[in-house]
Amino acid sequence: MKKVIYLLSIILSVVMIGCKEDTVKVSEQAQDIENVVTENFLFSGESNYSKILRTDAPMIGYSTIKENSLASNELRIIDDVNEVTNSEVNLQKSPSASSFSLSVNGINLSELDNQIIDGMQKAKASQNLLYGQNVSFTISRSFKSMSNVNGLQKVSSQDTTLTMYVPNLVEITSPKIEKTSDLFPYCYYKGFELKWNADSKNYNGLVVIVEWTGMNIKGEKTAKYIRNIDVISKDNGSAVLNEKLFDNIPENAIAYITLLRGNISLVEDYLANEGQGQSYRVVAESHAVLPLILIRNL
Amino acid sequence: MNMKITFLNFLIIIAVGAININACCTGDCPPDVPTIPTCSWDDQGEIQFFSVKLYPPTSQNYYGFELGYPMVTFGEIFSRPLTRPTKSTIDIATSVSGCTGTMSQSKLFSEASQIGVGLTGFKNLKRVNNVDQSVHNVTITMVSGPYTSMTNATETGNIIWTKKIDTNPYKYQQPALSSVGVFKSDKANIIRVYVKDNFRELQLN
Repeated sequence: MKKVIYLLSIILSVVMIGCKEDTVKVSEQAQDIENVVTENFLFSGESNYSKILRTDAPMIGYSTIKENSLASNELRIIDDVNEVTNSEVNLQKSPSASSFSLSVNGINLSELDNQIIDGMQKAKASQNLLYGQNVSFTISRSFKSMSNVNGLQKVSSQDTTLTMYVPNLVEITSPKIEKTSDLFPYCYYKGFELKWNADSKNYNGLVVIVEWTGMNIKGEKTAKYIRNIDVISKDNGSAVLNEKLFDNIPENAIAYITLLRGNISLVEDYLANEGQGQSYRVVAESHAVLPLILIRNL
Repeated sequence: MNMKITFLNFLIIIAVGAININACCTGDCPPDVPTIPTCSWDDQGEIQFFSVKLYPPTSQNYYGFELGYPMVTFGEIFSRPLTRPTKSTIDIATSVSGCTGTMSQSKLFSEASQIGVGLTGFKNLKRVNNVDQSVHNVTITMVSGPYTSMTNATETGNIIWTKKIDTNPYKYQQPALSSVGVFKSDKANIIRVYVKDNFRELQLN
């Protein structure tokens, strides 16, 4: 889940901040210190992915990942709020108790997460309710203030509901992978036509990412991490990828294409009247990964 | 060096043949005499995996692939974060090319505890593989690492898988030659490449 959040944060934050072709080099602390991350954002227009992000708002919702074309979908719950709250409780920093929950179409996501541990089973149990339709999100929060002189606590609670369309689970249909021996197909970068299951109701487009972790097919490892990102504006089922998505990735590199679509809304100043103002990013997305071996020279 | 090894190989094959002829004369002939494998070595070559399957715990599904992928892909599979902790089962089958007969289609099945892998997998994963060869015995040693836990940066180590494959057609023969290297791949250089919107078979230079 952390990876999903990390991925989403990077995609969305830089799309919002940059939205133009730009190369950013930063040290990636989570990885090898010597590694240099090169991020290249090709998209320069307006996108729903860029409108609604705030870096100071925790993310809540759900994500489904398909690790490769033959893998099963795995649903993961995104819950920055309770993760932070739990860690605060563990550290005994929280001055007062509060509870937070998110229900999606009447399903409490925290309970779903607890009841079904396996992400694949979770996806099977819930995907028909969570994708390809207008989905209702209800944020419930109660807050107990500190005891006053009479020993009484004030309890506040508030529900906020929003509805947004969550596109169908995304699936890459071409290159079509039908057997395990083809899980790492050789792919030529020029004129690369990527196909997926279209969703005509999705007006947000899709995010496409090409990643290279420095490994090539011969086993040589370079201390580089390349991540090129673009937005496909129309969800019509196919797009010829911008060649620049493969920039800085060499011949025979083991690379990964990630195709992502979803929806995000910002709920602002929740419980602001109690002086506990907090905004949330409500996100629902799915992404499919295509591992590949890059061919630059035919 | 290679010439020397080849020559020694040749001598051993001759010597073994002589012993076998002698054994047959004493009435202890093997029922079917297989062809003695001839092996060539190539330090630039690679072991081809027949299949690699990574089974996450609590799941019957696996991430993996089959047929003809070089060992590097094994490491790459492991460098992808795993969503579940503790222990996974790795099911590896190797196909060693470059030698004829008994050394192809060999299999290796291992189980590895993912010590230090935690929730998010390996980083800094490198791979070294050694193949110790005798005339009819092969030991494949694969070392994944050094890795560093992504949840505990001080936790590092290697994971080693070894497998001795007894390919000896005559049980009384003893290994007489050992070497270190990798098997030569004789795979054709024709690959399926996704070009524009379809797969095409192309020969790469």
